Amino acid sequence: MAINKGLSDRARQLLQEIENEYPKLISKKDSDNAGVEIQDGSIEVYKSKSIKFSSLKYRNFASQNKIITWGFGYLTLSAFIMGILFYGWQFYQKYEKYNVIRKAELPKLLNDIKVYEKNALQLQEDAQNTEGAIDFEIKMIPTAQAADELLINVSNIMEKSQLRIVKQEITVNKTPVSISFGLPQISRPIPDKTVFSSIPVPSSSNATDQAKKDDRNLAEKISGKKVSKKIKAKAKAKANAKKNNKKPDQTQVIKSNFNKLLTTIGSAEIKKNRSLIKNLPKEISFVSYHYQMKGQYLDYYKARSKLVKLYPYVRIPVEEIVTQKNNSDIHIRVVYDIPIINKKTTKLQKKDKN
Amino acid sequence: MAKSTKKDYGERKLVMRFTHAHVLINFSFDPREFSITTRSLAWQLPKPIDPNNINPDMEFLIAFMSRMVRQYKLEGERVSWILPSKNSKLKVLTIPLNLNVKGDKKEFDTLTKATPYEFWKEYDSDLAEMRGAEIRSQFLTANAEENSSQLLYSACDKQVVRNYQNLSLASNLYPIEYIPIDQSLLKIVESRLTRIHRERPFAIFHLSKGDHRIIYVRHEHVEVAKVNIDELDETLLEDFPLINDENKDFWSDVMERIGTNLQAATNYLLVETQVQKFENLYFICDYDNEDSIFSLLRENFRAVNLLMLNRQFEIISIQKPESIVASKEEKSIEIFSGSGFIANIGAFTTKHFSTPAITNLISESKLMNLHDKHAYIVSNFANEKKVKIGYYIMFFLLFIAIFFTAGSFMFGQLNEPISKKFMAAEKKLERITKTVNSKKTYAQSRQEKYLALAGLMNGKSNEKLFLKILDDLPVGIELDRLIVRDNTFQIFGNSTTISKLNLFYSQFINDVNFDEIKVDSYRRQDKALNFFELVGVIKR
Repeated sequence: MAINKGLSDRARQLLQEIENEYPKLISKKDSDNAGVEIQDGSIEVYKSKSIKFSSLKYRNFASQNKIITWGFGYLTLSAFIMGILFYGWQFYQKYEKYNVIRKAELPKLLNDIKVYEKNALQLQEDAQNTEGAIDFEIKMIPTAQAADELLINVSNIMEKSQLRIVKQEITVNKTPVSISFGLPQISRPIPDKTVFSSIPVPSSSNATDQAKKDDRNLAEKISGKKVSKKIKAKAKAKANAKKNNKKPDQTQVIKSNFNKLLTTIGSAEIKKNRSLIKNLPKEISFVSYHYQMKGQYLDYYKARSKLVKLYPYVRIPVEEIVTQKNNSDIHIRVVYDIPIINKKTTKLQKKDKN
Repeated sequence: MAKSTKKDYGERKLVMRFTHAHVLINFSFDPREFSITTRSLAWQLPKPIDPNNINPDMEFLIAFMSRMVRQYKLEGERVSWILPSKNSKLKVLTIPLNLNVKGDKKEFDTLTKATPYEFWKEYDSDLAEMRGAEIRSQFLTANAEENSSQLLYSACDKQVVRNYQNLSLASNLYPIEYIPIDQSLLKIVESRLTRIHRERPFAIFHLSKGDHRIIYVRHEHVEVAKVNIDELDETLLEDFPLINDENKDFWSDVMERIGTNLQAATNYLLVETQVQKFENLYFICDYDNEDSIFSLLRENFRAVNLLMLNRQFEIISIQKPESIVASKEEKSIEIFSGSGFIANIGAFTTKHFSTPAITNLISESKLMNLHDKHAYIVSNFANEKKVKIGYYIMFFLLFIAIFFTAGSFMFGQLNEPISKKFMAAEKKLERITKTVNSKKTYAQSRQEKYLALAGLMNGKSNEKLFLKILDDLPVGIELDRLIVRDNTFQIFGNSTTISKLNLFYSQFINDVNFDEIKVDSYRRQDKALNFFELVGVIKR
């Protein structure tokens, strides 16, 4: 080549080496003449992106920084999407709720309704049965018109059973009778003694402690009802006062105990009676017989059985049977509380039912 | 023909430049340590033009460019133009403001934004010749003592920018960048130098019709010296042949004259502008047969080393689509080469493979885009695709959201009767619950009433006690007293033996009709009997 002539031998050699290595770098006109060999990768076709030209687009892009417009567009679209998604989510939640209702809640609810309806029917039936039972029971209670017959009947039963009526009190009350009378004296015999009697033993002291701890008094023990603290305190004060004064004899102690018993039982009975009256038909009254009688235990038992059979609703708030020394007769004190009902009651009850 | 993968292309961009005879186009830029691969195309103009003033040839250029765009299917491509040096002179200007000082910087920003033309006119005398100019500058250094700053500066007549814009748009191309050729050249040449050469001053000789010049580059300095070549010699260069023994003498004379002019320009740089001496002058040529030109010029110019960088550039020639498809005949295939393409390559993002001790602020400077909308036009076009994809995704999401919402709404509506049924069932349940409760209360009151009535019957239940005493009172026990109060009883009495008493007590214990049975007894002092007290409750 012509250019090689101006170069030194060393430079010409180097140039030759380079040309051998990069033949494609020979200029176009050189290649025309020299018939250059085309190497793989030295030619290519431009891969067009096939973009449609628009002068409007250019003007648009040259008018302002589109980032602002695009950003605004993105924000608007995002807000729109979020808004739609928000509503969509609400609708979906609703749909999910409906699904839960359809699959679980509604069947459960319908089942509950069935159960409740069944229960209502059952309750209705129970109430009707109870009502029937009440009616049946009420029918067994003597009416006010039968009260005269009742008076004769009760005394007849007693007397026909060989019992001697010593005293009789009959009252008609709206409420069951409350016992207010005292008890005859009872004397406890003097206990026999041993050498250990005067020595306190752990068990007995324990028992005492237990007794102390168990501050229920006799009335509570007997009645099984709780006695108010005031009454307890009074009883305790009285007991202490007596303790402090003198050692009372056994008779007095027993008497005092029975008085306390009466007081506490009386107050407990009043409460009980109140709740009883509340639940009983209003038209019910009570004929109370207070008898003091003498006779044999067997006769009393027979008379009592007859009476109970005749008047199943007889209430016997108190019965006392006491034996007498050197006397075969026993002394009986008893109160019979027999409910009676006015005829109007039945009508009223029917009204209640309606 | 080897298939190029996407990776091989490196950075893709359409960079164009007019020479007097060609439109030089670079499509890609893939820099490696010892070579740069670029895809290029040289589209020969049917007649020579003045690349420094395309205005007179606009109509012809538009028609020609349109044909080229059609043939190579370049429609709608973004194009970066490399502006001739005459239209975009690169200078280093000194202004009496220290841009490292906040106040001066603020003042500079205000002035260059408000009245850039008026501001720069004081420092660039060439601006006076322009009616309006696109001006770009970049800070290089500041001198605190002299309270001044040096800036890399370039300005272009707005009319030139408009011409290129009209030409591009008429050719269905989008012009987005106008890069000064000197900046492009010095950046690409500097990037191909070794570390040592990068640290030293260097110069580029660009042999370009109507604008022959030497570009001198130092770390913070650029100086351009014009190489005056006779008009006749310029015309001769256009038809420079391959050198042989017959024409060598003639062309040696031509190159000798050019060499002399080059020497004069070098001297001007070294003597008049007093730049630091440079060793290497890199040769860039827009003419054909540049190897021949280079060899003859080298023979006639010995002041500094004249070097060519061509061997570092691997040019893949882009062909017309039909020329490849039609046949494999070599006649239809065009091979392009030449250092003229190097000027275009500087418009890509240059990459260095060495780190000099002293940074060259000139070559490190950002490319100056003289487009009037340079602030956003590139990013607008660059982000268009991403934004489009983003919008597609957003619309897809919108569609999904609408579909989801409509679906949920529809299914919800379908289930609406179930909801109504459920509500009705709830109300019914509420009603039934109330009924059940009232029935319960009623049944309870009835039950209480019944129990109250039954509670009256204690006479009957207490009978058990009397019968018990009658039946089970053992021999050897006598009773003193019996008290029955409601259903509680208390018995006092005496027994002959404790065993008898216990027998009596056990009969109560074992009887299910009695409860809470307690007995208390002691031996009497007065009699051989045991006094006892027995209490208990009669069950109902």
